[in-house]
Amino acid sequence: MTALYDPIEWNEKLLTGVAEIDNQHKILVDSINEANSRLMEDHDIKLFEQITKDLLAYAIFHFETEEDLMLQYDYDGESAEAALLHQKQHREFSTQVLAVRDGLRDGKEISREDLLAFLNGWLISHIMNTDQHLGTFIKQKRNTATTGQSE
Amino acid sequence: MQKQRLPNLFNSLPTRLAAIASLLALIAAFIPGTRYIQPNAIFLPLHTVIETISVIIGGAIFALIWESREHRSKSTLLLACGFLAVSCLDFAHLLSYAGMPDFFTPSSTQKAINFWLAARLTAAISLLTFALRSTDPRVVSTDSCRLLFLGTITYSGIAIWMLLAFAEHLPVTFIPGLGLTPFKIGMEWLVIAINLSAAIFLLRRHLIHHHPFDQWLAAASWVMALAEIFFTCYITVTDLYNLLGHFYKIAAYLLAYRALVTHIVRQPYEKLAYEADRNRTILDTAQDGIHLVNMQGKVIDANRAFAEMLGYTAQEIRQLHVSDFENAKSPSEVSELIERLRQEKTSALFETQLRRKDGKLIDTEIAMNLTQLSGEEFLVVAARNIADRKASDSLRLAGKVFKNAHVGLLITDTNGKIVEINPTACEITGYEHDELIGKNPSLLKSGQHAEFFYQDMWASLLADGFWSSEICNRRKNGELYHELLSITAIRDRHDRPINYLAVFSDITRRKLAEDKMRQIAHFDALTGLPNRLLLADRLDQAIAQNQRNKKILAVCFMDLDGFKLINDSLGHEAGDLLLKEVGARLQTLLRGSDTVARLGGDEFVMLISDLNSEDECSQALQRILHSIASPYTLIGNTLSEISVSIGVTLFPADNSDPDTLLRHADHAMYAAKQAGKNCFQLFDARMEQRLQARQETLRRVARGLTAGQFQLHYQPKVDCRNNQVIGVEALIRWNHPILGKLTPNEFLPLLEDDDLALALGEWVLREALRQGRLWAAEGITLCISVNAFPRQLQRTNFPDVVAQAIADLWPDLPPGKFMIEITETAALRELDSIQKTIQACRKLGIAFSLDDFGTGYSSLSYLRQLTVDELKIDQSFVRDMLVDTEDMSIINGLIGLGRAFNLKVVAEGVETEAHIHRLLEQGCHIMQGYGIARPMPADQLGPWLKEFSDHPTWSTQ
Repeated sequence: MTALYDPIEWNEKLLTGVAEIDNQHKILVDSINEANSRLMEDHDIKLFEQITKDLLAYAIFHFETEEDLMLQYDYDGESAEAALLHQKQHREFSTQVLAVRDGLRDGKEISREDLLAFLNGWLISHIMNTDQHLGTFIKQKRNTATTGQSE
Repeated sequence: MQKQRLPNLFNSLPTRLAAIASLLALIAAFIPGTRYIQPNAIFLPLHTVIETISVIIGGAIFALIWESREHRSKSTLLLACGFLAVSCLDFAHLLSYAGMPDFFTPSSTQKAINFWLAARLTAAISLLTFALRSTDPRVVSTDSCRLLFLGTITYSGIAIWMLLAFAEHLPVTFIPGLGLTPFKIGMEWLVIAINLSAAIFLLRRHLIHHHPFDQWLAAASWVMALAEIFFTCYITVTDLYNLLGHFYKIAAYLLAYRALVTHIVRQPYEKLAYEADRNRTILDTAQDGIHLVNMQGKVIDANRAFAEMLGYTAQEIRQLHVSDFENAKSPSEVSELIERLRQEKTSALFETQLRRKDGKLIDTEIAMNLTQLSGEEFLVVAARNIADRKASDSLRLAGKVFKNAHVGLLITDTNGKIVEINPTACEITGYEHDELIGKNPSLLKSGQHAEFFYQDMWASLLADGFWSSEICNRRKNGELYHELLSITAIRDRHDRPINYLAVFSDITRRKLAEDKMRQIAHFDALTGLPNRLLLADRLDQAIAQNQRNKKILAVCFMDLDGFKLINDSLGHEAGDLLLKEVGARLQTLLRGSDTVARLGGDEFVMLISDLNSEDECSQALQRILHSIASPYTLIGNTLSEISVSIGVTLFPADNSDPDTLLRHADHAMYAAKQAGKNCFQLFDARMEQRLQARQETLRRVARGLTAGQFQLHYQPKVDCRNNQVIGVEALIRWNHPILGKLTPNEFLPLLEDDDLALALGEWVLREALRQGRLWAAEGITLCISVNAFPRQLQRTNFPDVVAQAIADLWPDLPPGKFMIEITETAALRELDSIQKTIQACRKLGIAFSLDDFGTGYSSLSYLRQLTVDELKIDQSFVRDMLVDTEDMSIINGLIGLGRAFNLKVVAEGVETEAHIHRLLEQGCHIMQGYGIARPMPADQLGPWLKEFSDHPTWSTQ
């Protein structure tokens, strides 16, 4: 219970360059920061359930946006390995959140810290690596499309 | 009256003639020696001429009267007959005169005198009789006339015969040389007396009845009397007196003749002329245009008024045809009308328009009457000019309208001085008629309107001639009233305003009603605070005001924490009182310019204006939280733990429209509730975005449901002692089009609080029943269990939904082959109602299982109340039971509990062989988990069952 996680500071490194993804990332970061601060103050299981519920809902919404873009630009076809990894990380996120919640329901405090560690870690690594890859791919596609049009 | 008539009597011609005759007689009597003049030589021829004339006159008199006998009265006819008889006797007298040839007997003076006297007596008696008889105007029948005529002839004949036959027996009347005998003189005086009497009676009658006829006859009688005087005193039958007597007789006859001519011949003509003249005068003085029209429509005659009406001369108008001046009807219509009148013999009355000679049109009313003149049919037409009547009718009507109108009417001149008002206006304003005349309507000003209001009024009156508005005025007694007023300029021919007409009605009562309605419509009945409707209005104003003043507006959404609990435990009355008190406290904490509104229930909205910083807002809200938290005393109860949650959004930082501002505040309040109540939460745009994301996800679930993206997977429950598969649990999967298969854990928590859970839950129920029936048909008879959402179970109609699904999909469902799993936490929430639901469903043959057992406050007391068939030990205990002795002991406890209540106990989350063996050792035989079988699509269950039947049993291993 001594570990205290600093809130994630939004910075340029987190930007993917795809507006809709970046907007949603900001909210996701906010949500995790909020969960962080709340969980440090309060151990109420109900609050935690609420946070996980919101987080999950938003995650599904966000993952859907990203995976929709993947389909749109044929990420699976052109960068199959990256696409598979990306989707796997999305599933892991949900599973992990649920696992921690279930653990917390059982009254296991350690799971909460794990969750926070996981959330922070996952989010930063996912946004800074996996999503950057996707972002670059989409930007490239969009640029080709606009130049193609302008010609 | 008598005096007035006397001059008339003496001035009249017959009187004068009688007077002259009398005068001449006097002269003759008093001139000495006249009686001795003897015109012997010419006497006989003279006498013959004179008598012949008198006979003719007498005959003429008779003839005149006789020929008009149909129109004569009896007395007149009698008089005529008298004259006839007299003429006959006079003729005999003429023939018998001395010197005349013999007439039956030799002519002699004596003989002539006899006839003379008879004639004179007859004449005198006839006149007297006439004078004495009433002037009975009744005409005599033809038979009476004949009788009378015959009588007269007979009388005359007998008289003549007797005077001839009995001449010697008659007294001597004349002795030649000596003159007249006393008998003769006596007889003459008798005749005089009779004549004088007749004259007197006739004169008297004349004075009474004014018949000129009587006057003339009276004169005749008088002159006859004078004649007779001469006959009393002549000496020879040829002397001057005798001759004068004869002259006077003729004069008398002429007077009588004149009387009768006047009466019989002239008078009718005069009367006719008079009547014609009178009719003409009547016609010409009539106001109506009366004209006579023949059947061809030609004007035959017209009175002066008609000629003047149409502007023609009297001659011109007689040349016209009706169609020359009839304007409204065509010539064919005119002839049709005439024809109709002729055939139906009726009259007509209608209004039409006539055209004058100068072309001007006049409104007329026409009355037509069919009439016959000398066998020919005519129309008598009266045309009346009704232009004036029309004008005056409308004027009179206008006057009545003005007086009786139920709206106030007020007329001013162009200087604004009141010239007329009607009674309703007096009633409305409370002033008397005379108090307002000559005054300016500004007298009624209430002072409630700014000066520009009146300036506007004058501007539109001058520009458009019209102005209308609701206006507040003051009555004489000082009371304010509202009226609906419209003012119209009345203009003259040159379009210059000459008056202004104000029409107004008192709408005070309506206004008050409107105010009341507004109060009802805009204010909450319980607290008297503005309601949602008025809040919208106030919010608009507040936004505008803070925008103008560059200040911050806080829109706060507030909700009482746990209000439902207070209502339930203390009653609605206490709840209402609490709401009132909270409303009152909020009002005292805010400034007058701020708004507290109640939206209903325990929801309040506050609009706090003119803030300079977020801090200022926080301070205000802290004060509110503090005030609300202080204790309440309600119907003897003291409540000390009331708190509220407040969500706030700040304009213009949140530069949204009013509705969105309220929604944001609501969302923030939701967050405040989540954050632990008794606090306020500032709206955060990302909070909104997250909510939207959640809403969006829910929408996708709903879409997925209709698009068939959901699927049930089934996980077997196995009795591990004998490998008997006792049932399968249906688990929902979402085949997300993008994210792939999602487990219930990933999306179910999102919709637990939403009505979408009902739809999805029902889908699961129906899908499992459908599948169960298919399997039953294949010979697979397993107990299928589904998970119900707590929200579903809370619905009182849940048993009906289940019954309907069974009826629709598996009507012959065997009892105990379908099970509903309830989570322990859900069951705990509404223990009583859920137990009722369970009871109702059990009647349908449904079994129940208590899921996730051990995670809640598993206690004996509620397990006793719930009639379930199965307990499922939560997988979290099973997962760690091999390493965690605490979990193991919980599992042991739960198994014991199940046994005690005689329930099946199922262990969930069995992953390994070790789990299975350990659980079997502990006495829990029925297991479910990856260690036995993963959840599988329906079509894989058959193959799995077949394969599993070969699986060795664990107990023997």
